[in-house]
Amino acid sequence: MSVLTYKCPNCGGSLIFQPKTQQYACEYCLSEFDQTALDASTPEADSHVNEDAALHEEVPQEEEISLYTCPSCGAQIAADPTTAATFCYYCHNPIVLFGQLSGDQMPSHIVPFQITKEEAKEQFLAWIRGKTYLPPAFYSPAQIERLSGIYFPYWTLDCTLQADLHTTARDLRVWRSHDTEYTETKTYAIHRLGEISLKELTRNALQKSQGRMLEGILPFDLKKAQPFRPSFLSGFQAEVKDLEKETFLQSLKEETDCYAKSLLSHTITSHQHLTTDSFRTYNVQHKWHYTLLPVWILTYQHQQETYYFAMNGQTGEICGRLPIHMRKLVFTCASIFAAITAGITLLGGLLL
Amino acid sequence: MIKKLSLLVLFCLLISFPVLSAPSAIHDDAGLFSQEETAALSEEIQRLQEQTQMDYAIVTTRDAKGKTARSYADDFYEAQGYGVGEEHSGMLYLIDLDNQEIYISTEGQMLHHLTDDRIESLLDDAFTHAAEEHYADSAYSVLQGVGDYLAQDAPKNHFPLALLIGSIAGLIASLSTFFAVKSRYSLTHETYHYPLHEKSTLHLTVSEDRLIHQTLTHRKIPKDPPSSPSSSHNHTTTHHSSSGRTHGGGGRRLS
Repeated sequence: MSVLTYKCPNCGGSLIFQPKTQQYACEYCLSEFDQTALDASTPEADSHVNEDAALHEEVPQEEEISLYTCPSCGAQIAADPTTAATFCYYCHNPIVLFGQLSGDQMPSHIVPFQITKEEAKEQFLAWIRGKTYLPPAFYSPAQIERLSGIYFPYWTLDCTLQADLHTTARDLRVWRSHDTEYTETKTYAIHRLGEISLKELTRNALQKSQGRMLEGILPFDLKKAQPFRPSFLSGFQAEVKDLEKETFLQSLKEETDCYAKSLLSHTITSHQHLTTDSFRTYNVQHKWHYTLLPVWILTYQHQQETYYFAMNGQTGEICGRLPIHMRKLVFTCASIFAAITAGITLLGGLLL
Repeated sequence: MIKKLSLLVLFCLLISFPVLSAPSAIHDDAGLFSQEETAALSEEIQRLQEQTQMDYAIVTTRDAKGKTARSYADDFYEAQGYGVGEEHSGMLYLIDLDNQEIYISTEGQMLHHLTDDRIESLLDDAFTHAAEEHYADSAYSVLQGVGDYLAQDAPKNHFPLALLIGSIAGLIASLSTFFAVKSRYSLTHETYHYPLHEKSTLHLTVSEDRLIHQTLTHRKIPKDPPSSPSSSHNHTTTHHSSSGRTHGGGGRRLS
C-alpha cells in the first residue's frame, strides 16, 4: 500500500487543502494552487508525489493496526485499518494513506471542508459561552488545539419506488335544526398510487465512530459534493468505511416505507377519521453513493466518559455532549433549594 | 414597712380593678338561671373575653318596657357600657319573655364575625333549648357557637404549611435546574429529521375518493333545567339603635 504526501511544484514543501479558498497552499513558500494546477503538475497520476509502496508492513490481524513509514522523516506511523489520511506524529507532515482508498474503499464523492480550523474554534467557543458548569480543562487552549478536521465516510442513498395506499375515511357532519340534532356519516374508499423519489438518505458508515454524533450534524448540502480526489484529504484526517450498505437495508426499507406512506397520506385532504386498509411498496430502486463528509471534532475524557463536540465542516451545524462540573452544579441546585424554601416560608408566614 | 404596705394595696387594687370596672355580664332579671348555671355561664363568658378581647352579655327579662326585643337588647348593651375599645366590640344574648323572643345583638368587631347566616344558625340551636324552657342551655349554646366561629376566624399559624410548600417548591426548582442543565449538556441536536418534503418528489398515478356509504341519524335535544339564583352567604345586616350606634343581630319568636 502507498503513502502519499502532496508536494509543492515550486519548493517541494507539503501542500494542504484550504477550506476558505478551496485551493492548495504550500506551508513553506506560501504558493497556492487550484485543482487544475495541481493536476497539471502531476500529469501521470501522482508522479510528483512521494510514493513508497515498499515501506508498508502488515502487523498481525488481531491487533487491527497497520504500520506505515512517513515519506518525509522516515518515522513509523501506526494507523487503524480505516484511517485514510493523517499527520506524521513526528514531523507533522500531512500524509494520505493512498492504499486504504483502493478498490471498493475508493469513495465516489467528497464534500470538501468549507470551514477553517479558526472558524471552527470560534464557533466552539461561542457554543460553550454561558455554559457555566463545564470543567475548565474542557476549554483550555491546549484542549481546543486538539480540534481536528476529519473526513468521515457516509452512505447516501437516492431511492425510487412505487407506493399503493388504500384507506377508509369516515366524515361526520353534525347540525341542528330547532330542537333536533342531525348526524350525517359518509364513508369513502380512498385509493392513492404514486411514484416516489427520495433523495439523499444518509447513514454514517463508520462503526467505530459515535453514530449519533455523526448523524446529529446532518444534513450536508450534497449538491456541492465533488468527484473524489485523494488530494482533498491533504492537511486533514480521513477515515474509510467499515460498514457496508447491506447493513442498512432493513432500517432503510422501514424508513422509506414510512416516508412513502406519509407522502401519500398528505394528499388525502378534506377527509376525517382515516383508517389504513392496505399499504405496499414495490419496484424499489436504490442508487448508493459512498461519500466522505467533513467534520470538525474535539473529544475529551472526563471521569471515564468520552465527551465531544462535532461540527459539520460544510454548514457549521453543531452537535455535542458536554461534561458537567458536578460539584458546581450540585452547589447551585442546593442554593436554589435553600433560597426558594426560605423565601416562600417567610413570605407565607407574613401573608397567611 | 410602709413601702410594703403600699405595694400590697396597689396589688389588691390592680386585681380588683377589672372586677369593679367591668359591668356584670349576666343580668338574669327574669330569674331563669340557677346559681350553678349562672356560675357556669360566667366562667364561659370570662374564658371568651380573655380569648377574644370582646364583651359578652346574657340578659333575661319579663318586662321589655314596651320596647321590641331588638331595641331592648341594643339599648341594654349601650346602657350597661358593654363593648371593648372604641368600636364597643361585643355581643348580647337576650331572652325576652315579655315579647316571647330571643335576640342576639352585636356591635363593633363582632359584626364581622357574626354574619346573618351565622346568627341564624346560632338562633337555630338556641331556639331548640329555649322552646323547651332550658334557658341556660340556650345561652350556653350561643356562647359556645360564638366561640367556635371566632376560633374559625382567628388567624392560624401557617408556618409549618409555608415551610412544606416552600421546601416542595425549592425541591422542584432545584431538581428542574439540575435536569435542565443535564439535558442541555448531554447530546444537543442529536436527532436529525430527514427533510422529507424538501428531498422527495411524488407523482400520483391514481387518486380516487369513492363514496361507498352514507347514513343520517337525528335525535331530540333535551332541554336544560333552569338554573337556581345564587344567594350571598357572607353578609351582615346592620341597623341603628336609638342612640345612632350601629348594631347587627337577629331574633326569633319563641311562640
